[in-house]
Amino acid sequence: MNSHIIIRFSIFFLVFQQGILAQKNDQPIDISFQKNDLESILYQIEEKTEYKFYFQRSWLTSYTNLSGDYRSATVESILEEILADTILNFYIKDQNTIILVPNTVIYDKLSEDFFGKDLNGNSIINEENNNNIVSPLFRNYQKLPNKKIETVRIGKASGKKSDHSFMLSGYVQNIQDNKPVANAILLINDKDIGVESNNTGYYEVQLKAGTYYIEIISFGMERLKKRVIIYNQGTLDFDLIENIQQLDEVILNTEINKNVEEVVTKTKVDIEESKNIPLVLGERDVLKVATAIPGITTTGEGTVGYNVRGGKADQNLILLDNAVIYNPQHFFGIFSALNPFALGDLNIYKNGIPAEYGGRLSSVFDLKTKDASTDKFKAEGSIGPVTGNLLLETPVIKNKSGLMVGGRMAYANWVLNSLEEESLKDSEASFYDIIVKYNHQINEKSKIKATAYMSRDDFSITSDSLFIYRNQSLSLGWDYRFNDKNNSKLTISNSQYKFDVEFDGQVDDDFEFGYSINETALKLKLRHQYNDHIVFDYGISSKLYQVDPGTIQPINQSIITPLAIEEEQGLESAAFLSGKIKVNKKLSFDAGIRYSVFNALGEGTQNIYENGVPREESTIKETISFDKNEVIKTYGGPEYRVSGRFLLAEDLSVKAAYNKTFQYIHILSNNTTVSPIDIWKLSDLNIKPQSSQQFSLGMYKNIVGNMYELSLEGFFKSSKNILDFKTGAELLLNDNIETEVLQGNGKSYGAELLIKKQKGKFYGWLGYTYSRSLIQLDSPFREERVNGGNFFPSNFDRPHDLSLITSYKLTKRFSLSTNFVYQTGRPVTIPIGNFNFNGSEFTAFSNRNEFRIPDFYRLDIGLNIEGNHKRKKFAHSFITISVYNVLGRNNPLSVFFVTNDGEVKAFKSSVFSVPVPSITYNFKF
Amino acid sequence: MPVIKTIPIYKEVKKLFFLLLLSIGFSNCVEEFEFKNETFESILIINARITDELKHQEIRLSRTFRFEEEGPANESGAEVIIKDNKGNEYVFKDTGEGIYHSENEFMAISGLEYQLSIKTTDGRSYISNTSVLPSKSTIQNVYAEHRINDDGIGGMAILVDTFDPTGNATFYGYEYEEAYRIKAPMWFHSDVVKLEFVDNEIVYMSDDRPEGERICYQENKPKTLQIINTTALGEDRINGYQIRFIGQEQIEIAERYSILVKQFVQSREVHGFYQTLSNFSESESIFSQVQPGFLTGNISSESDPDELVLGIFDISSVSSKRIFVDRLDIYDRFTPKFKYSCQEFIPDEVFEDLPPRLVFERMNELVLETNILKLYKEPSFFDPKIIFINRVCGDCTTIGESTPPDFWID
Repeated sequence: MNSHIIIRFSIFFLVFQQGILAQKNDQPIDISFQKNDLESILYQIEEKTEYKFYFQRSWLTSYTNLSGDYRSATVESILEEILADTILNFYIKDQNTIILVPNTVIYDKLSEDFFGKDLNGNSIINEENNNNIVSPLFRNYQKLPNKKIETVRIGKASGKKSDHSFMLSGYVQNIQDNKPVANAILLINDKDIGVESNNTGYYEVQLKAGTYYIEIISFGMERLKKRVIIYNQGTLDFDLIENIQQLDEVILNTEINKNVEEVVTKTKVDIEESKNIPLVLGERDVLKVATAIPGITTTGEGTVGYNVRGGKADQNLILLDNAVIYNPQHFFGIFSALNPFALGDLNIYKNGIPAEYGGRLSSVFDLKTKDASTDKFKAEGSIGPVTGNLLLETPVIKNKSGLMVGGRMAYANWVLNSLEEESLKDSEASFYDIIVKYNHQINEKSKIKATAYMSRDDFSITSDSLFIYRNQSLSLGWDYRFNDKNNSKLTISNSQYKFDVEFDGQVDDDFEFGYSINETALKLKLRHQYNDHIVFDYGISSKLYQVDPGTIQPINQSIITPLAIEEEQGLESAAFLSGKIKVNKKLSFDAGIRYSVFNALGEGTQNIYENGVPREESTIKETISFDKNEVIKTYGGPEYRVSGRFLLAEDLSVKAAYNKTFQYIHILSNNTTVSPIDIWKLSDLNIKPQSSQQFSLGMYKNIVGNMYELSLEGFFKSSKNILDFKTGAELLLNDNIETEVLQGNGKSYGAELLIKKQKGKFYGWLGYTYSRSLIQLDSPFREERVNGGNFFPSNFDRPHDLSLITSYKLTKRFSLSTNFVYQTGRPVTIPIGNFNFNGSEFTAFSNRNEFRIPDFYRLDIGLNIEGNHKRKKFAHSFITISVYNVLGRNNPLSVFFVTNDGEVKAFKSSVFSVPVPSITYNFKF
Repeated sequence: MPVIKTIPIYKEVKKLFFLLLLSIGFSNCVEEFEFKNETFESILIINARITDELKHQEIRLSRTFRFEEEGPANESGAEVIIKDNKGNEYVFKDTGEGIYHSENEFMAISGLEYQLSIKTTDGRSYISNTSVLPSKSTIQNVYAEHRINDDGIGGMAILVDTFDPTGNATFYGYEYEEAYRIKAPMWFHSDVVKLEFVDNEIVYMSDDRPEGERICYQENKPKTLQIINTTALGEDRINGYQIRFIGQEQIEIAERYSILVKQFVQSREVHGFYQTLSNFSESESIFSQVQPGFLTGNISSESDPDELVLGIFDISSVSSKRIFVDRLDIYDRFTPKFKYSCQEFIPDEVFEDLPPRLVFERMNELVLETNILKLYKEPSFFDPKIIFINRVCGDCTTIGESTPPDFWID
């Protein structure tokens, strides 16, 4: 899909069964081949030697046409040469085993600077280490098991006392295969002297007469300690027993400087790490972790949607396996609607958006599910106070295809029932989400993936209303590789978002109100590797929207008049081309262009308004009808996406990006928060697409051997045709919604600082953002002017935003994590006084967004207790105990005003004003 | 300010969403909080409607007041002047209670441009956009009809028809003044004027009383402005627009009713202002469903462009029409009408057990001192009881004026 995914190459359970030091079959061989493929060459070698190669066939297929002629060359040197131009490395494990691995180097010993310096994936061939530098990493100073120590006497004691040193020498060998053990360390009298065995396992050491304890340490071998009494020179051989010890997953991160080097900055949310961040009611929420990243905020607790760099909540393209998810949250945004166990990857683009994505202004949240396991059955689950979650994976065709089924369900009813608020005691709330994924590797060139997702929320907050909203998505992807230079990805997806309100009161005004949006998209993306320095991505995509903006239906003999707002249709298409161009080692570009076109389609009617007067029902000049699929209006334009990176040093870079985006679909909400009842509206004759341009510049630096990641990014974004509303506008079920909305200019700018510590017992990050988000609604007409036509803070203008996430590993099993958030309170419009007019009393409101609600801050604490680490245990489990809002801060979500009997009352609502403790049990097998 | 376009569903949906909103704050998290002085701003409110009627024109100036206070806060002592582009100046005088009247009678004339300027006592000055008189449109017809309203109640609807053949009027505002006749149902030709206590007996002395307490007139002039426009229609015509609805059992239509309907033709700008204002009042319980914000009119501060001023300078042409409706024009005798709750008060029965002395004291208090009871029946040969009635049933001046308004025609 894209080449920027951080790949973690792992060696799982590498078992060093045959002794740590590979003994090579050094017999020189003769071999020659002409235009052969790699696989057959390896078979030739196998025939001529006792070696067996271990590899995955798909790694080799791209290497064909190899020629060579070797005369009495060692296998090692032959391989070095053949594999030099490949991504493969080899490791000669023992006399008959050679393991090939892509990208990764198998080290039989970790280098001294293993955790310190860049291992950038250059092919380092494992070499025999002939010098006597002792790698300290694998010195195993564990206490020896309380074994009886054997005493050995060396030499014949001579009669005379002497200060003379005697030479002790001998061989160290593996008792199982009688092979010499090289690089074994002999510690004499607990580190007084240390010597090392050579290639042949031979050692020698000068010792004076006396008694010594000699301990032999060698990686992969049981320790051996002997009491040696030296009388004279002599020999002593050591026979070591293999220490059957599995190496528990050594992760070689080949892209440690990735954040510095990548051209398009993307924010990756570590799905695994998200489990360590304390969250409300113990629910893991990957998207919520995203809000701790600079530049991404929410309007408040319990609100739906994300504001990225001052953008509205509808400006984020949230993709789950390439299908759009309109509302990725449950229960007013308190819980994520995405099953955390099913997710494999979350990348957020807010700086430079690759040209293949479009249709939203601010960001792309690219969520990918993990592939279902194709080799064994796996299960993962959790039980928390509100939800239960279970994810199963099973192979369908071994090593080819797998199926994953995940389900999550809330049993939230008791939460509501336990409330003190009388009016909510009878309420009901439940939600669930289901995800099913099938992945199938058809052959080496072709792979298909299919994902189906559904989430649904049901609420009955009052006894007479029922409220339902639902997401649904289906996606089918086919990856095909034509050859090593060209590959393709074809995706078909369908997404649907719906809500329904049923009102069944006492009087005859019962009704059902429904809204739905449906989109079907097709996308073809191709990649062409032009040469080593230039890679092209190109393709086309098209998307058909169908919106049913609302119907009201009377139920139970209600006298409500049925009302249906016209359906809308639109087609959004785009072609894109982008190139990753590596100019030189330091300078790289990722430049792309996307040309998008939107057709508003019939059937429908559109109003034409008089020119030179404000748009209102009274200025409708005429109403035009359009036939089915007739083009009502076409919008479109080029979207340029350019990112560049210049490396100032290996671990320091400067990046700049320019982005232009269009958005043809808009949320209509005059609340400052996106609530599930907000409707999406397509651009039409009267509502223009939104557009935005963003410039960003950033510095990225890794320090202390990549222990810390630092970045400072600045951005300036200017937007056009941002939707907002006239003062006094009413939006719901309005046939002429364009008379209530205004389109103005947006402007946001800011600086984002991120300090991240990645390693060690204590890790986490600190993100701070200073940013402003402003909007201007100006017009020659009073009704269409807000705040005198000047720029004013948008609903998401929260200048200071600080997030601190820390995690501290207390012991292997216990880790403590905290999450602290501080944000400037968001702007609100509030009443500033009452007045009389024509005999009635009214409330005067301040200028739009002139005031702010109090600042927001919250501290959460979580404790993770891992189950014990026995290898053979049936299931791995951990328990998360968390306290949300430890400080019990009553953070207002919104402030609103109600006039009751001519009196204005102010209310503030908050979601969790008290500390909320929870405990969740997670298991995995 | 009631509004015309009301689809009832809006309110229900809104109510529901409000509940949803509340529910977000579960675990007792919606709380009322003190919201008083911090944000109060004293803003000048200007309500200036000048018409093409020759009269002392009226302008009202007030200020916003704090939520916890009772309004209105009147603005006094301001210099208020309207100028036209012919150089005429019309000076307004403060006549108290925030009301300013033009010193001389004048009327807005078509073709002239008018501008309002105000200087308040704190030295700030305000100026309106220039406005012209919109074209005039005459009310075609005002009539009464029996209708059933949305609540299922039958009553008299006052409807208006208007038509502007030129098609220029478009934006209409309506006000009405109503008057109705009241008849005291148990009026008696004489009343007790004196009570005496003689020989352990109460002596009532009565005298004739004026006819005026039998028939009265009540006037009602709501300031509410209703607005409607004809833009969505093919022609500039309003047919059967309901100005007023009176339930058939209400006192207004118990006898005879008169309504004066005033039709204003407004400018689009003024109309829009009233429309927005009405949106705010429409949502009685939740502001959050209406986009809040400061409502700007066509008047701004000259001294400080950022100062908030809420006001409208409205020049409207007026057409008015009065009708009279007798109850019997619409209803027959059997239709239930307004019922007074009248109860006969017979002292002998009410104070049966009391000693006469005390009965005298009570009656003196009820009839003369507090005037709660009116004489309904004098004792006679056939029926020696004296009967009283609560005052409203025998004396209509408690709820109306005994002299008819100037325009009244019986």
